[in-house]
Amino acid sequence: MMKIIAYLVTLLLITGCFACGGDDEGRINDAVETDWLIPSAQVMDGGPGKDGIPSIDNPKFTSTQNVDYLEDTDLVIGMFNGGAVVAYPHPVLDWHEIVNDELGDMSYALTYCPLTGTANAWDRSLSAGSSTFGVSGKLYNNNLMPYDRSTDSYWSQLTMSCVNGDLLGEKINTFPIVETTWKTWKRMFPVSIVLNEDTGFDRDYDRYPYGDYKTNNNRIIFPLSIDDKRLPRKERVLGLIEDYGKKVYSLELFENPKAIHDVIGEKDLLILGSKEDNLILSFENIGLVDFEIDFSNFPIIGRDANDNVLDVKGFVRSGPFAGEQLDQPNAFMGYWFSFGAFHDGIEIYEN
Amino acid sequence: MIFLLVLFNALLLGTSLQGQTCCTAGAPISTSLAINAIDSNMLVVQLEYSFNSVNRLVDDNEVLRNDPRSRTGQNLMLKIDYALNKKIAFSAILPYVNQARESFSQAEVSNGLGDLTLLAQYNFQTKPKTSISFLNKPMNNFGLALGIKVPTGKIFHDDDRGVVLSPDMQSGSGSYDFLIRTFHQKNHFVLKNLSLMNSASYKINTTNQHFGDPQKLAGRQFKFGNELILQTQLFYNLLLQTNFILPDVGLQLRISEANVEQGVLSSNSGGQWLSIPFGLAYFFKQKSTLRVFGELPIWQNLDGLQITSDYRFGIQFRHFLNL
Repeated sequence: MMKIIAYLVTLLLITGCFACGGDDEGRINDAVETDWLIPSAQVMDGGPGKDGIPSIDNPKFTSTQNVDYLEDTDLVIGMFNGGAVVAYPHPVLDWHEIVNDELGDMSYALTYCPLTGTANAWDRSLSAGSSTFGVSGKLYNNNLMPYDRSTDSYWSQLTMSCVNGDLLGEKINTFPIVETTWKTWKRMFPVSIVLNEDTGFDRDYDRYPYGDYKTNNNRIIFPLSIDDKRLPRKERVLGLIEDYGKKVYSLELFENPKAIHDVIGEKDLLILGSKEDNLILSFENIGLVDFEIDFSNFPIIGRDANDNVLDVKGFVRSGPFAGEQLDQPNAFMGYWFSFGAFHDGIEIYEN
Repeated sequence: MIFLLVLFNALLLGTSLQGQTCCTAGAPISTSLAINAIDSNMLVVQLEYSFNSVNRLVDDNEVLRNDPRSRTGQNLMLKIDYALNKKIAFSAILPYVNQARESFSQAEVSNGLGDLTLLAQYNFQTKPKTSISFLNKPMNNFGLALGIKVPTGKIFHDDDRGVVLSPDMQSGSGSYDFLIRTFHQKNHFVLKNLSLMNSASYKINTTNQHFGDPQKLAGRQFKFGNELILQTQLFYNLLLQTNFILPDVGLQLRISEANVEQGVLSSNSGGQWLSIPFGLAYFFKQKSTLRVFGELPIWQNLDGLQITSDYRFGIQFRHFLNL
């Protein structure tokens, strides 16, 4: 019996040797960065790992008229700078989440989270210098956490700030974006360039990788810190997130196209939307009154009672305010649950 | 010569049932579901090392190129079998698990003891009386094994920032899982030196309500999909005086249901895998076996996008002790 016991002990020792080095031995990144601006217990590892979802760092484009890889109902994220106009289709973004790009003098990372349905364009100029961003593989409230490749700091897309790493606490600057369907985009911008499927990665961009996630209100992959059920979780809303106030506007408000004159804080805002066109635009108002929406004659989007004619970029084409440009607040589309989770009790616009 | 029969049976029953996916926490416990010792008063101690390369990115059944990820899994498994009599036997399996996940920007590794599996097996037919020439004797045996996997493995490995790693990077599943396995073993299959082994295993997984450290990650629910493994394997014995060599080759079908996250089926998990397991065993000094084995996938039809195994190999040592 002693022989047997000795034999088993030897085997256990061999097993133990396999464990030598302890947990997490062999990491390349040995730095310990455990200071978080968000509850680290609510940061989830999505599974693919850091850069397991590859960002697009050398984007390639196709002109609007040559695009044959999109359906009319596909959503796109649009940006413009001067005369340059570019669109990033959701079917490509679903697989890559971040595009490091430039448009005119703007250098930005277009970040998109398939799980929260949110996109925003981040200025890549950081206090530590210009950087590109990658997908960290972590999520907070189901939302993308990019990391910057200059300092390896982790950021939160929806707090738009650095939450872990050397740049802890730094806020990100954003550029305006617009989200709509490919069908509407073509009408708005017949001349534009569109991110194509030549990404350098072999992916089936015709297939949505998350099954029924877009429409299944019961399907939330990771726990939420706040599960606000005032609206269906996957209802698409425009979230306006500014220092002067926060509010969401559901696309359902715009069953009939209309303009909403709203005030948040002391800021006068103009919210224009059409569910049929799958489009909500927001501007900081400079005095337009009784605005009448008209999405049938893009790029013109309507006029006010004083015949100020506004285009989709916010320029007043004619009228008393001709030549003025309305600023766009920091606002972007997303699933309702994400705004509810990040902004406790956020105001919902109601008719 | 009793040990020879035991050795042979051990080899037949102990062949690999490894799954092809990386997406299970801890060691592939189905690897060694069967109980080897079938003779009374005999203890079988087994030590097995296996390496699983998980570097094939598959979308449904299409293999994709240019994946920035790679995964490996290494398992060291200690298994002890004890036979109460010729019909009833018990077994315990304890793995030590090493999981690695790597991209061009980061490598993460987790090590730890996995989940303990306990099994009980019943053989419906006792073996024929043994002799040196037992390999030439007909044998037709059915067996049934039931087991439970106890969540002894660590489930809160974290990264260098304190974030708990995903469930498939943990050493354990955090759940009590249940196993059932049946097998049929037939000697003299077509040829005198040929034996056939068929088996079916089903693993019923339960939900870990709090994946990770309950103090740190309350609320996350995760359940690995139930899985069915069907395997058929042929063994050919080559006698070399008192020692002998036993090559084997087979076919394995693994069917896995999708994982369940927060109560909802995960869209990029589950599927069917077809692979060829193979091995070569050497019996020596009438008390031990040394076996090398491998497994190559030949077809898969996965649900959504998954990174999956492109090959696996391992080495296994068994020693038989008379109590």
